[in-house]
Amino acid sequence: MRATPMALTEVPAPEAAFARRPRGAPWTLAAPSPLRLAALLAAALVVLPLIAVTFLAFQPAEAGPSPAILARYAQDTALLAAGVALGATGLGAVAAWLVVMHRFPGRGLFEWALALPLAAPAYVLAYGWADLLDVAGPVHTALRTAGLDPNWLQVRTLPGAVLLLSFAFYPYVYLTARAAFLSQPVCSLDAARTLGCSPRQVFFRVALPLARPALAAGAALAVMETLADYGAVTYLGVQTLTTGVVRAFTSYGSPEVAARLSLALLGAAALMLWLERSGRSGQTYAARSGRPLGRTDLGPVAGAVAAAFCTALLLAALLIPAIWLAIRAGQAAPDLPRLARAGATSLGMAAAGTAVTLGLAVAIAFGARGRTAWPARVASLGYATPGAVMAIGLLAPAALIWRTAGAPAAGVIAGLVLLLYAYAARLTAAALGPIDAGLTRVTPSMDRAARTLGETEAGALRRVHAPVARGALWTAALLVFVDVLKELPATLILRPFNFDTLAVAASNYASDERLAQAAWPALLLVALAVGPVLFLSRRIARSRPGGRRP
Amino acid sequence: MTPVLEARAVSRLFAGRPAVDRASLQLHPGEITALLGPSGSGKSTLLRILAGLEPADAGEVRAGGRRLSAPGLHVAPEQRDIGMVFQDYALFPHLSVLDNVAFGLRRLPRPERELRARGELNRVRLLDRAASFPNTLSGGEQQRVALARALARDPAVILLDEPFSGLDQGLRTEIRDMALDALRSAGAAALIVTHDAEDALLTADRLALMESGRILQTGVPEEVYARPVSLAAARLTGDADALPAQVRAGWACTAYGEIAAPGRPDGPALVMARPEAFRPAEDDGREVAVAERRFAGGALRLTLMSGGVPAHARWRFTQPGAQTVRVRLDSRFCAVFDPV
Repeated sequence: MRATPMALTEVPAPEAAFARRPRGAPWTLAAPSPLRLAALLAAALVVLPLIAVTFLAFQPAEAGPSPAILARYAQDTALLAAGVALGATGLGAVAAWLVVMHRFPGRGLFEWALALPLAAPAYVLAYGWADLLDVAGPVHTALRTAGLDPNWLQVRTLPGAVLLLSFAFYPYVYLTARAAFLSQPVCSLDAARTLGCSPRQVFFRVALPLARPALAAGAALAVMETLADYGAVTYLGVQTLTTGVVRAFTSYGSPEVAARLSLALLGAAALMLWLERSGRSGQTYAARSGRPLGRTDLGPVAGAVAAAFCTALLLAALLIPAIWLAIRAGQAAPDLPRLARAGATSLGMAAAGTAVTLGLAVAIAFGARGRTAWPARVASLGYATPGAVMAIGLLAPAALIWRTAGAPAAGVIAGLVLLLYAYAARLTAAALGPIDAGLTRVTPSMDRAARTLGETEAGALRRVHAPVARGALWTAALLVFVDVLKELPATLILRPFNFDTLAVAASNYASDERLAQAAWPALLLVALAVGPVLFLSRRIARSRPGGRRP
Repeated sequence: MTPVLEARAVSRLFAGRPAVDRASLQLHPGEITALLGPSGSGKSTLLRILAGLEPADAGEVRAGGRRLSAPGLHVAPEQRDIGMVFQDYALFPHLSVLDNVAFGLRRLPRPERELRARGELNRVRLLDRAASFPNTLSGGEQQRVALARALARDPAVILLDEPFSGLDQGLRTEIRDMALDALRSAGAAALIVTHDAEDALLTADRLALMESGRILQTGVPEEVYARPVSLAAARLTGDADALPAQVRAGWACTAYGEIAAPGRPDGPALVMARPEAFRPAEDDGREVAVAERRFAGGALRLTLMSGGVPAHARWRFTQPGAQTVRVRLDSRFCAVFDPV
């Protein structure tokens, strides 16, 4: 599972990881400093598994799924992605539009609560909803008892998966759309009014076109998540390229076939990355105005409808599946030792993964500061790469390690290092976004002032850049922490034997149809993730574009 | 007197074009030098080269006997003993005013560091804002903190990049005077880069003019103002009219009168005339037309016209409604150049 991308940076994410920071003249005293080398090294680390995947894809393969099956994978993946793009964009854009532009009961609460479903991975939603709407489940039973035909209500279908993943991934669109609506120039909205537009026409003729690049960027993120999802689609019985990658490796034992499927995924992900990037650059013409947006009062009826919509979204995307899972968990005694072990493993991996990822991101952000940030672009490629693909790219070294490791313990440690590598390679860009945004507060002349006041380059980083970007570093750390916590496919492929995280434990229980048991690690996972997500979404809700300190 | 910092024929190329073109400049202890030039003239680049924030592609920068910059040689900015005040002040937003001023004093033990920082803040009369954060200060206050921060390390040289350009007109004089007092009491050699002629003339002990990457002229302000080396140099320091002239027997004759041009061969020439050069005259003067008359408080700004050549004068008084006035040229505010 992937999650929580640059969308979750402080609001007016200025170009974030992708482009140069706007900062005047370049730093021209560029001896090949150790920092610069560290940035290059970090970028190389990210791109290495992708090269390995490409290489592997052109090796002769043995057995694998037939071309017809592969075509089916590709078709379902395309349909799923298109459906989620529409669904998530619709839900997220409407929610953002309501919350930013209107006044209705609960608006302040919804503003941050609507980002909370980021704490629940898509597979947890899938477990909850699929079980609740199972043929033997309470809803179907109730409908049958009432004499109604419940058979139309199926989640384990392609349309069901589209709907569920739209619920899971709408927050990406919500966050980017909210930022875009907030940063739209008030004066152009006012100008539209004086030119004879009604409020409704202002939305369709000015606000929506202005937000279109941001919506496209949010939709691209949602599609990237969809392409990368393994846990939810597997449980719902939908075959996608990502499940194909995992199956080619685990069932057919063919890394080559997995790599070929991965190439197709990489192509689609790169397309989404490009879309996301162009969406971001489009955001820059949204001028920041000091004047607050005027919110329209919705009145009692429309206000109630708006509140109901937001409530329904929260129920569907988080509360109903979570509550149902809690009920199901109550029906089974947890395997406490295993749960505790998986919890500790998850926390340990998340902490270690965060440390490594943050280290790489800091090296890139500080090393590339003020210059063309191609290491950051390379890192964003890693972010677009589905976890399963990243894992396939690391399989070759992994296999080598399993074979050559004399002592099993050494093999386990090497395996964990590879897993951390996979996390870092995928998530460095996610950390880079907020750090880069935080570093824009350090102007080039602050940098130079530190130098003329007797600090070396490294000293300036330590005494100026790092403290100024401290809040951003925390944001980045929490983002990565939550993402590693939720990660499933790469962990499934690369983990040493008997090495369970909460995500792996939940997935294993679920695939054994022991949902009551799966509910325990799934809920524990959500409980661990909800704290950081809550903190981040509150922070985002408080921030206003253009309302920052100088 | 030996200069404390010296640029010798320094050049810097950007994309093959010289931003700084063989510029030479000397800074002396206790002296304030102003570097005056239009924006894009390369003065900020020269400043950054002196500070070590930019390498030199040709020429050298020396401090006493020590070479700081030369092609292939670059002493890092932190090792130069040169302080700098940035145009945007560049205060550190995460540090209080006191900590900003103490930033460069890390080698000192803590109590001494604080004492020193407080002393510097006192010098710029901001001791009461020591605990404040930069974002709560006005522009003028930020500028003084930046100055105190640069002075705190007691640098041999202090460079100021457009230090007064961000301030509004009302505060400007007051803050400029306070900054100059602080600079003089610190006794360092100071270089102020500015595009404002008034700032430059009022602040400088020595004035250097820069245009298109070159230093046009250096000298004391009065001399640079009154004896410009070229029309371009003249126009950097203030208003100047260019009057076409004919030299005959050591006199340059213009539409507004004659001035002495000793030693200059007969033929066409150009006379540079400041507004002060057009003096009200009695019968001995030349009668010229008044094309426009504008009241500007302390003075009248007259646009004169004679022989198809316009000229600008500043007078205290004219006869209201007069269509013509009598003028004569004051050679102390004129200079004769070759025709363009």
